[in-house]
Amino acid sequence: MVCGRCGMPQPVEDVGPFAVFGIPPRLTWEAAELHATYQDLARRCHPDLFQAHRDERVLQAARGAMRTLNDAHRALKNRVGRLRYALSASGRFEEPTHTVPEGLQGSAQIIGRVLAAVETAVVQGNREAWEAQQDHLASLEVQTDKAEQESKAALGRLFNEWDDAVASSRGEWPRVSEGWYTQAIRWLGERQYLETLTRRVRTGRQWPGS
Amino acid sequence: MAAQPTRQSTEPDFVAFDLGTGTSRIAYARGEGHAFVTDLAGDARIPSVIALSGGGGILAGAAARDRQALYPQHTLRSLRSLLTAGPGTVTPRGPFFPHPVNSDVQTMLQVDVGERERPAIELIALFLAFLRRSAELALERPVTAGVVTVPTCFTPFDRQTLRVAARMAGLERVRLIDEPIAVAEAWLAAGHSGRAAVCTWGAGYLSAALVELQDGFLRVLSTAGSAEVGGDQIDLQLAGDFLGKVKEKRGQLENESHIARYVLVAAEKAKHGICERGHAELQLPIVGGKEAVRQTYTNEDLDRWCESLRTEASRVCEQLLTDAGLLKGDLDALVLAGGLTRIPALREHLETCFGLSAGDVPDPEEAAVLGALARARLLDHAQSEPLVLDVLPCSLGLEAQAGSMSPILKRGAVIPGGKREVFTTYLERQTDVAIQLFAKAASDWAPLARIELSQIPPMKAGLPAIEVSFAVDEDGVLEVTALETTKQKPLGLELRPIRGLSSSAVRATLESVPKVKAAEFEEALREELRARGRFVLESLRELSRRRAGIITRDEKQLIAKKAKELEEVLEGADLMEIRTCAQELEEAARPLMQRDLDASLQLLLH
Repeated sequence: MVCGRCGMPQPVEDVGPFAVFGIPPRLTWEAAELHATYQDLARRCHPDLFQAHRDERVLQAARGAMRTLNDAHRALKNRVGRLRYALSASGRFEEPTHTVPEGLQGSAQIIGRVLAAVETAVVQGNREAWEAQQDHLASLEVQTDKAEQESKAALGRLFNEWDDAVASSRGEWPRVSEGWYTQAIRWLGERQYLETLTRRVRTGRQWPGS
Repeated sequence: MAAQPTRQSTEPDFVAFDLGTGTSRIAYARGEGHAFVTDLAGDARIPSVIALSGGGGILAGAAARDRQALYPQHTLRSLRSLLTAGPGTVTPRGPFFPHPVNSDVQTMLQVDVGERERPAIELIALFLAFLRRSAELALERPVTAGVVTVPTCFTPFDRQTLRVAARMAGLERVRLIDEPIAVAEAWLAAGHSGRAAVCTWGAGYLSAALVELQDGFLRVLSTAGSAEVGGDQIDLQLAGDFLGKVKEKRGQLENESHIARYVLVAAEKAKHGICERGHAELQLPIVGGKEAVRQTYTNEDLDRWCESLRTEASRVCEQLLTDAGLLKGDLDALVLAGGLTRIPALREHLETCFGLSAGDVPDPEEAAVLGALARARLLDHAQSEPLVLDVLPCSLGLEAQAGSMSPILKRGAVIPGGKREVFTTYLERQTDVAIQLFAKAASDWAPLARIELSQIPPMKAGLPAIEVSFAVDEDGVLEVTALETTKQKPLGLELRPIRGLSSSAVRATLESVPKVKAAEFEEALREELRARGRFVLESLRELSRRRAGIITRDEKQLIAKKAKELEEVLEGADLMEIRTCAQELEEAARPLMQRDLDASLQLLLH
């Protein structure tokens, strides 16, 4: 993206996000590793470094390079994004739908009732009613944390299988078992449910303005 | 490590333009410090007002503002808000917007001002040209590059319009900077750090961002904003209420738009008065034997008019935090800028929304232009940090099946950024396809533009692979290109935004219009300077007559000499000469003006 000799941004080809970062398509990456590479590249191709350049094409190239970098970073910067990218680059992506994780299936209704009661109390400014729900909410928080941990472990297993396939793929795009793709899509659906749940629980634990 | 980009020149190129709805400011680098472009009276606040006469005369800034009650039909206020306004926004303002609008043209407001209909972009361009030339006179060098502030709620196409207007005005290089990001840069430049919520609230817009400084990058975590919730709305409510009272007493008014403008200007002052003293009186003096009208307004009234503004502010704050995935407690500081944040009720409301008390910015009214200047220095390689990682202000999406929306890029994606989508045809040998593009700035999707593809190679239905690339640049402007990938053929493409310029209009404007308009812009500035020059001449002549007793002979001679010099150059073409002569005249008269002031004060005190 940036010429090593002259420091000028170069036109970029569509190589996929892993190649932009110069890394193999493994899914297990520390956010900090990607982040450092992102910052290093951004410091060299940020368009603001070339706004004053006489040649407009240099600015265009920087803009293109930074766009490619940002798009790649967006695809890889979090676990969910990497999983989605792995699915779509394998031609197996399907839009996930909200799915209640197994561990919470028995209590989904109670969860809904408690959260609705807390949120109604907040809207009505009824602090007493809000406080009355806090014990339930606290136990909900424990359950949610547990579900989050299970989800994390499940993702670890998905990542391990993928990364093993990468290790044995000799530079080719990895091939995993059929079940992996369906589990990955299901996991994304559960993630959506959990994210909403965690945010609602976290918000519900705080009385507005306190 | 790669070589650092080399510096292009030793002269700073970029000038900072804070194009405000009510007031604009220009700042430039002077050594390590900064300076503001001021008018002849030394004022750095440039009213965003333009006056156009039927004969082609143009006034801008203070000269236009001072004459607005005389020529309301010819004088446009709050210029920038015309870019996001439609006929439906300005028509309800009645006598407060006495300019006929062409409601046939839906994509951009066409305003009849100075007996000629002009599109909003041209009016903005005229004003920007005035700002640019003012900067050139102060800097004594050509100014062709600028950092220009923009409200966060401007869509990619509003940003495009502003950028084209700047090009029409002679700014060959333009970098747009969101107002709260500019304020954040000023805040950082003042030595602060941490994670901050920044809000700018002026005459037209509320703009807000969550930012943090990290390893030399200014990371924007989220942005949000709102139009039609500024100081103008309060002024209009106050003025509307008073005008109603005037009509009650005097019946139907003959010269309503003149009185309305007079009242609107007074309302703006009264708003400040209420903030400072808790109350203010609006009065219309006795005219033509008709009785005077007086009305006192208090904090209570102001509070009532602020109600809808507060509701909108709550929504904006909520969206900022939700988008960034943060809670109030995760923030270190709240930074407020813009005139409206001086209203205690609004200031306190924002403080409550974020659970923080507002920190100090050196001057909340200057923060935006100083932040834009910090960016200008970076673009000129006079400083290397912070590099901003800005975000897309609204989600972009396409309508999928069953009316659901499939997002292309989500609000908050770091820009420059992009996405490619693949489409195909539904009919045999279909050569044209239209795609509707939507945007989501708050909670609902709204149509943004129509993408019309043409010159698709005639093929069986469903065979063409039409790859449409959406690319948002660092200014938040969207570019769309299309390619049929099986035959590698670039396609014809026309972007028609709901509001703004179509892609062919952008090309046409950039190719031809600026050269045609240059002379007109020049004349605008010359007229403004002449008007100020005449004003200086007249007021000093009047002063030397009135204060004949306190003027010395030497002074009288010097003033007469300088006045003659100014008079000689006034109708000429050399703007620098006019400016220099006017300044010299004021310089010569300064001691007299000071004694005049002292004498007047003594009269008042005794």
